[in-house]
Amino acid sequence: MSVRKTQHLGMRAIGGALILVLVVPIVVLIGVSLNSGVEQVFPPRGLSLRWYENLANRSGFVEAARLTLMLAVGSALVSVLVSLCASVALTRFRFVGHDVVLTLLLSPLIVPQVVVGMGFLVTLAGLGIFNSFISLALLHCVITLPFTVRVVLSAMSGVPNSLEQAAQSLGATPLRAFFQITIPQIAPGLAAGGIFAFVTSFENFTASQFLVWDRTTLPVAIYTSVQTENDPTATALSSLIVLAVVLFIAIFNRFVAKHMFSGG
Amino acid sequence: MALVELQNIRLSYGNVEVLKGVSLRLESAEFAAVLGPSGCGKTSLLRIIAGFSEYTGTLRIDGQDVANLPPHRRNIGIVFQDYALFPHQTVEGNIGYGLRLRSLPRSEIRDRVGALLDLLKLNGFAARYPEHLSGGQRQRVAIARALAIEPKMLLLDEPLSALDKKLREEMQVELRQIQKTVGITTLFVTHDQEEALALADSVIVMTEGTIRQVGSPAEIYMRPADAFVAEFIGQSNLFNAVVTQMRGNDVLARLDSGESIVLKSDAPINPRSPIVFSVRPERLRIGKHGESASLENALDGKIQHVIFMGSHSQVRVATAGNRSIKVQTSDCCREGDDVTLSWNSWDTVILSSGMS
Repeated sequence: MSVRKTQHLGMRAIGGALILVLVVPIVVLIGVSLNSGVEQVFPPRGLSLRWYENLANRSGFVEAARLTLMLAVGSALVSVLVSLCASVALTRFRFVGHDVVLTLLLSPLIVPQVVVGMGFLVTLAGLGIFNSFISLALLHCVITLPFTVRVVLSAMSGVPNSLEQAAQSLGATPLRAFFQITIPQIAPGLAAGGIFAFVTSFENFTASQFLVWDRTTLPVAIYTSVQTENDPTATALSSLIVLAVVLFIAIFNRFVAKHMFSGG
Repeated sequence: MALVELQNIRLSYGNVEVLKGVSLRLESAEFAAVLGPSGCGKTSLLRIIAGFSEYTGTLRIDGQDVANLPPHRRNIGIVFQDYALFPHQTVEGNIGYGLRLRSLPRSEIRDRVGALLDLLKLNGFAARYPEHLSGGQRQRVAIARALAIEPKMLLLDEPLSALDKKLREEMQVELRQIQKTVGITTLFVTHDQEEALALADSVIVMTEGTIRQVGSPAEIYMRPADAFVAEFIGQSNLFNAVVTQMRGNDVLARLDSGESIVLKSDAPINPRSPIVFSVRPERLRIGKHGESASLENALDGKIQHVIFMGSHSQVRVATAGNRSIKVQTSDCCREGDDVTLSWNSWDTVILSSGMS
C-alpha cells in the first residue's frame, strides 16, 4: 500500500511540476507588465497599468497588430478555401499524381520554418519583391495550408459520396448538392481548420522574421523591442495577447465547440 | 412509370471489363432483381441507369436516349446501400428535400410527406434526425425520400443487406407491398438469392459482367439456363453423361460412372453428345438399399452424413465414381446406411448439350 501511495504522490509531484513550468512564465510575464517602474522585475515593484497605456503611444505595435490580424484572417480564409477545393479533388477523383499532390500540400509541415523563410527570402529578393505585405501573405498561406488541408481532408473523407448522389437523384445540381448537403457535414471541420490556420499565422515568428522589410508582424515586433529596449511595454503587449487567447478559448468552448461536437 | 431498355451496355475500368455487353428490357411497373455474386457488375449497371457512371451502348428510358441527361434531370429514385440520409435534416426534411427543390407550395409538400409517412409507417418520427432512428426506420425514410419525387423508376442497391434477418424478412414483404401499391418500375440489386426470388417479378442473373438468364423466380429455379445459374440459385447436383439414344422426349444417357438413366428434353439431342444435367436436392428420394426403385432413375450409395435442419435434413450420399450427392429429405436415415437414390426423368434439367 505504502509503495502505491508513494507512487501516487510521485505522480502528483511530477504533474504539479509540469503545470508550474507551464504557468509560471506566464504569471511572471503578467507580473512584470504591471511594474510601476522601468525595470523588468518580478515580483513587480508597485502596481500600475502605465505600460499598457504606453502601448497606445507605440504606433509600431498597433501597426504590427493590424498587419498580423489581417494576415491571420486572410491566410485562414484562403487556406480553408484552397483546402476545400483540394479535398474535393483528392476525395472525389482518382487521378495521376494524386499522392504527389497530397504530399506537396502537406510538405511545409515537414520542412523546417527557417528553411521555408530563407527560401521565400531568396526567391522574393530574386524577383525584386521587397513588399512585406505581399511576401508575408504568400508565406502565411503556405505555412497554414498543411494544417487546414489535414483537417478539411479528414472531414471530407468522412462524408460518403452517396449523400451528394442521393441529393442529385432527387433533383439537385452537383453544385447545389455540394453546398446543401456536403458543406453542412464538414462545416465543423472548416471552422476548426480556420481556427488552426488563424493561430498558426498569428504566432508565426521563425519564417516571418525573414520577410519584415517595410512592415513587421506582432511576434517579430515584440522580439525586436525586447532586444532594443528594456522597459516592460513588450510584456504588457504579450499579456494582452494571453488575455485575448484566454477569452477566445472561453467563448469558443461556450458557443462553438458545443455545436461542433453535439452532432445535431 | 417507365419502360427501360439497355442495349449492349459496356463499361471498363482500365483493362478490367466490368460489363461485357448487357442488354435488358424492363417493362412498366415491373419489379426486377439483378442477382449475382459480388463483383459481377450489378452495382455498375445500377449506377449507369442512375446516371453516375459512364458507359458505351444505348440506354433508353421511356423511349428517350438518356446518355446526355445528368442524374439530377433523370427523375429516378435511388435507395443506397448505406441509405445516404442527410444527417443534418430531420426525417421530414429528408423526405421533402426533392419536393423543396421542385419549389412546390409548402402545404403540398406537407401533404405529400405526410402521405409517405403513413405509407411507410413512420408516423411520429417526422421530427427525428437520422442518427436517432433504427436501421429499419432509416431504410423506410430512404424509400420514402426516393418515392416523394414521384420518380419514373426506383433503384435499390442491396436495400436489405444492412438489416438483421428478422427485420429483413419483414421488410421484404413490405417492400413488395409498397411496390405494388405505388406501381413503380423497380430494379433492385442483390447478392442474396432468397431476397431476389421472394421479391421480384423477374430475376436477372449476372456473373462476370454478363447476363446469364432472365426469367420469373420459378423459371430461374426450375429451369436454370446453365451450370452457373443452377449452382448459384439454390443447390444443385451436377452430372456428366453421354447420350445413347433419343426416344420422343425421352433421352437415354449413360453417366460417366456407368449407370444408365433417362431424362426429358424438348429439343432433340444427337446420340453420343456429352451433356451436363442437374437435379435439385429436394427432388431426390432416398430408399432402402435393394428396394425396387419407385422412380425412373436410381443410383446406389452410402450415407456420408446427415445434418438435421428442423423441417428437413440435409444428407450427403456417396455413390459410384466418387460422387457426393446432396439430398434434402424429411425421412430419417443414419450415417453409414446403404441406400438407393431415385428421381424422375422430369426432375432433371439439361444445362449444356450438343443440340442438333
